[in-house]
Amino acid sequence: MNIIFKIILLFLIVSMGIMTYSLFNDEAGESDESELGIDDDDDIPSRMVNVDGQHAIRLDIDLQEQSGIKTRKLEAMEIREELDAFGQVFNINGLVELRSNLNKINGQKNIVLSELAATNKKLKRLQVLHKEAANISTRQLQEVEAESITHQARLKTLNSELTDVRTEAEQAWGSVLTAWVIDNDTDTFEQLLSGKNVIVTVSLRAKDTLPEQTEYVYIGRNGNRILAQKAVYISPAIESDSMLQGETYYFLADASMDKYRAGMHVHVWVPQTSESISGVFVPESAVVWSSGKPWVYTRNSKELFIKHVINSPVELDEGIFVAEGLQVGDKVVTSGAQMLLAEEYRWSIPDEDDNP
Amino acid sequence: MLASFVRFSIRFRGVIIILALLLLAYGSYQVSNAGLDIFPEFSPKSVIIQTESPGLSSEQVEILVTQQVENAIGGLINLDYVRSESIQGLSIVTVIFSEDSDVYQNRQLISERLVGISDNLPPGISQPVIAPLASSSATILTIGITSEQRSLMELREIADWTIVPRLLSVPGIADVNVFGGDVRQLQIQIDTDKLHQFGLGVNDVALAASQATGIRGTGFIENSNQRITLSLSGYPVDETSLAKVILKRERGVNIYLGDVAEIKMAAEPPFSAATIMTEPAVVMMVIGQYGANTLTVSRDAEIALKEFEEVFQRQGIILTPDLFRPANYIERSLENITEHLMIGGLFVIVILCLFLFNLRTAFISAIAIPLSLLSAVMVLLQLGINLNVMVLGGLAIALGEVVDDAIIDTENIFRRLRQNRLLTKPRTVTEVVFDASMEVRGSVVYATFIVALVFVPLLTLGGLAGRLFAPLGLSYILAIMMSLVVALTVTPALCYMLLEKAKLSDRDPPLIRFIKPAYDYLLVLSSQAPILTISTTLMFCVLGLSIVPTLGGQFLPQLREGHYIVHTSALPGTSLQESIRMGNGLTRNFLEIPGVRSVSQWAGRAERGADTFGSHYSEFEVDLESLSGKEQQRVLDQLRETMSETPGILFEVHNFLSERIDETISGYQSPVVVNVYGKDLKQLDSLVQSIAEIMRSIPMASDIQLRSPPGTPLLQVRLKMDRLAQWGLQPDEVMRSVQVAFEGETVGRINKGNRVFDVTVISREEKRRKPEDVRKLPVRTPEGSIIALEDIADIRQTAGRYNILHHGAQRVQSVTAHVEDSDLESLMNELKQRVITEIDFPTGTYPEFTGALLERTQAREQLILYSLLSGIGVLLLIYIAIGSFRNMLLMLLNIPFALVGGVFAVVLTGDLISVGSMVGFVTLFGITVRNSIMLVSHYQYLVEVEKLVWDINTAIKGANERLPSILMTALVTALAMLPIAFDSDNAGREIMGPMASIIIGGMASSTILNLLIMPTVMLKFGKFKTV
Repeated sequence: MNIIFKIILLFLIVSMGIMTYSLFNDEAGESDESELGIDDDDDIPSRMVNVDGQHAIRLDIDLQEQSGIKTRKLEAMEIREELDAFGQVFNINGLVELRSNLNKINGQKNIVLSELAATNKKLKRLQVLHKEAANISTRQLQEVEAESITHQARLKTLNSELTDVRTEAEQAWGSVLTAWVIDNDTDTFEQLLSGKNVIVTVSLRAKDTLPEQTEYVYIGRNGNRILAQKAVYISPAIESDSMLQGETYYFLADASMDKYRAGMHVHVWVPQTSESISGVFVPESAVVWSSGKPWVYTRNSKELFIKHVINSPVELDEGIFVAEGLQVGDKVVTSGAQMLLAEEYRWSIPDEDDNP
Repeated sequence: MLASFVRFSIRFRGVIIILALLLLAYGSYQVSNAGLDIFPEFSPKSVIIQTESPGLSSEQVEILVTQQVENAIGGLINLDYVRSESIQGLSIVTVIFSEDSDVYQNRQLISERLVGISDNLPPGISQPVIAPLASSSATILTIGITSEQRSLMELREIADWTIVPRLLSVPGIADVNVFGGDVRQLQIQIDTDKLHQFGLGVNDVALAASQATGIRGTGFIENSNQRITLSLSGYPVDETSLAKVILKRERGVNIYLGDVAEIKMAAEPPFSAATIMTEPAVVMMVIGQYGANTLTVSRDAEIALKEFEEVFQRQGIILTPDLFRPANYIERSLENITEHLMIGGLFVIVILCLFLFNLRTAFISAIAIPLSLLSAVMVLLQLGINLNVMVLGGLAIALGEVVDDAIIDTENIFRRLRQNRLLTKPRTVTEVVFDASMEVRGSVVYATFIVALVFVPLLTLGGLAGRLFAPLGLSYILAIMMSLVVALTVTPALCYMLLEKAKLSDRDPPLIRFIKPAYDYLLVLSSQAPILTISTTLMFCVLGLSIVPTLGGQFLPQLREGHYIVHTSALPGTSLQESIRMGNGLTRNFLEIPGVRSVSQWAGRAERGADTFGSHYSEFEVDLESLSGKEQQRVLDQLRETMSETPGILFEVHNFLSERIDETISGYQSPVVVNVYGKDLKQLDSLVQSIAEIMRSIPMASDIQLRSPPGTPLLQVRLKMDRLAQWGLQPDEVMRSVQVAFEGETVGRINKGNRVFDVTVISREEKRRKPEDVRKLPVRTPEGSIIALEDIADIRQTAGRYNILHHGAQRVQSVTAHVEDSDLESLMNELKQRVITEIDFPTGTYPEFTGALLERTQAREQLILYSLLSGIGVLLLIYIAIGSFRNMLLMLLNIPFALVGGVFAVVLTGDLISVGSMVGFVTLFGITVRNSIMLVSHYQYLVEVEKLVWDINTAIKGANERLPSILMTALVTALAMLPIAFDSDNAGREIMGPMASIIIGGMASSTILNLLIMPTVMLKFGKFKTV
């Protein structure tokens, strides 16, 4: 065969081979990105920077505006740590009954006392008459003496009745409330009677204890802490709540505000420390949860955002109280915190296109 | 056999022509009634089973629901594999069946298996539902409603009760996915503080409510005369009457539902939220049925929507009917293609007239084109393949061959008839027509079969490429086969009828007369310097080949649909509210881009929807004004720029069809994927972490990502059994309390008019916002005391899983990576070796190394195998056609040079190599081989039949005789393609454009080769033996 023909043949085979390979081979040349599984978003540079050993997100001002990031200066707040407890407005019927019993006994006692005084006077006179003139019979004298002894015995009985009632009352309501009734602390009791004040039985959970020197707690009917009112400490209660099995105490509260009526259940917040803790109030919209902890983002300079963990947060109605880690005046992100979190963890956003 | 066909056709020419006319008429009727779509059905044969599992976490969904469903469907016939995803509140099991299975049978089998499954599911979990059988492109229309006067609840009601039922009655609509708005339900919103006061638990309220709203049938009474139905009324049917339902009676005092709860119509906790141009809205996505025609169905749907227009206007509701309308693209494409075909057709006629210079012959050639294409379309329609862009593409690229068939025949008959008239003793016309027909017939048949064979690998392509391009291959093959039939029957019949008595000029047509001398001169020149000619050819080939490796590739070119779909994905656990807030920012930025007409967004998912994403996921419909392809690209670039500036999101921008194709591709998009299978999720997590560590230490790997990392915020409530015992509580009571308070329990239903609303017991909204609300949830003990949930459970914030994936019913955790340079194999080898040696896989766990590149490599190997097989078939056929091994090899020299023109065309147009371009090359190969066979066999004819000596004169004579048909074929093909190739970056031209430009470029080089180089090479090296 002609040599040129052979060369052509060889060339033909080689060129066909190369061409076929090249055309069937995707990897050749610059391919369309989607062909290699590279998504639109794969080449976005990271916005994470390192500032003094801390991870921070850098966003220029325009971008912050575009993505709707808003910040708010943190304001100071003082709170006391509080325990949650249950309360029930105390029914003072028992106390009123006690009072009326006491009044009855005291009335009787007064009668007996005056009778005894009269008898004793009479006895004295008869004794003189019997001794000096003996114009009084011994029998008469003995009768009056017996009368006096009877009165004394009745007085003793009434006194012991009073003691019993007191003991009973103290057993039921404690010494302070009993004293209000028995020792005639008229003002306090009158206010209870008039319904101006109420006694609230506060029951703590089994695990909780009332902090020492607690002077007051806060109570409220609707669970709103902000509207709660003060109730002043009276004394420990004698009976515990059979359901809660925790400590119980009496507190005195102004009934007019929340229109308390006997038997009503109320929420109770018990301050745990006598001194308040100062910190800042973080609005709810600033908090994001990640890895089991609450975090907030603060704007540390015009373009830098840093994430802070919140340790031992105190949850309030519209946000949380933070004692440590954040300062008054810190600019906390109130709109866009989740977006910043997503930016920080962008690597972990699942690519919805990759299906096994 | 061929001879008898031709003879029959000439003899019964009247019958043949009437049949042809009938076929033309019926074919035109059929085509005008057939709907047009963009793509064939390209999704794999899959069935998606969804189970709504309200309130369950992803872990619970996986164990309690997904596993049950997977167990139920295991071992089905034709089942390829099963994969599943369990996310909060939803289980999705996707069952992939083999390609050759029947869609309806698959669904039937699955439904049968799912029948009894409810018994195995936890109470409150609804029966698994098979997602509606939707068409591949799925969306027919996206519409939305907004209003300044109406609440979102009213809007949602209008969508659910007015618009959706009407749309579902339109034939071809499978489903309507509704996003956004507030689903109205009657809510009994418990005030937990009041429960404390009254000593009641959450469960007491749920129980009372369910007893009050349970509707029971009451039967009938019957006596000897009549049967009287019993009907009970007066039970609570609205807010007021429900408020009077008694909850507890104590010392003669009643406590009513209304005392502890607010009872009102309120919004169900939402699955999704939506906006149109940042306004809160209800967005509806209309899904087409499998096999439904987008154009027809969307027009019908629009007619249905028109009915509401006036009423809505009066009610102050704004209906936006075209947030996205895929039909726009089809209409625009159709308009464009029709225009091009008209221009192309005009070109064809002009060329035929110019070259043949005889109206009759031009007519015969021209009539063969519609006849062949219409017959092919009819066969396709009979096979159940709808018309779509791919089918049209196949027909368009077959045009060259079809024209060639007709021209070769007509031109030869015409020439022989002219020669016959010059004879002193002319033969009969029948004989001349028959002989002239038969003279070229043999090689035409071989050429046709060879070209058909070249297209066979396209039919064997697997996966998406196969489903998309097989109809193209099929329509191409059918068109050339039909063209062969036409050439065997109609063309000889018409030639006989029209040319028998026609006045035939004995001279060549003027254009040929004008070209021939120049051609002769060139041919003599090139055959006198064969080495120069061949080396120039080789030089061009080398140049072309050196370009090929630098060409980029893509699956499909950018389609210019005038619409973009943007996906954004934030961190799992992002609320709907935040997704919408971020989305509104994006929407405002999108609207600032010139050319953007409307933007709508939805976040989350629709109930029963095909998409199953969490609240962190959003999709935007960005609809454009009517823009050119270039302008659309600018908008796309600007969209991407806007998105990349937005912090905290992953995003993707696609046009709709690419998006659908993307969603359809089963398998991985990432080049490298390592799956770890096992039982213990924590173990799997730590294993993939270790694999990710290894990957990070390999410099070639980049962008390493865990598929489903645990990181979603999760509030874990762990019951303390000893505390439960202390209070005498059952775990179920506590769980139910939590469920009622935070998930809500649907306790019954009430009707208002013909609308049915759920009655749900749930906590007040402000008591469902903070972890503290969970801690303080009141639980009533059997003894009647009220305790907080935290007294009996350990409540802690942890990180949960967004989803749990299964593959083949096994838990799988994946880590994916991209490859920096293209050396995938060495990366895979290193990775495999290090993973196996460095990581100790506990029993029951094992890794799998896979990825998009690996899958693609396997697919490519298969394609190469089929191509080789068909290549061998082609060689055999060429050998049979030519009968000489030497001449066959010489002929094959054609191919690289012909393809070189195509390569230059790619470079000139700046296109990337797509599957469409590959089809262009294949077509080019076919046409070139065909022309070469025709030339070589004509030389053979001259030497063998006409007994000419093989020298330069014979070579010039043969080439001269083939000149008109080769030139005509090339010009007709090229000119028909020209309008499509020109400005191909526009609607309807995207896929066919690159194909067309390759064919045009290739036609140029192939024609030069066939007309100049082939005769030269043949003259120098070819051998023809006289018989």
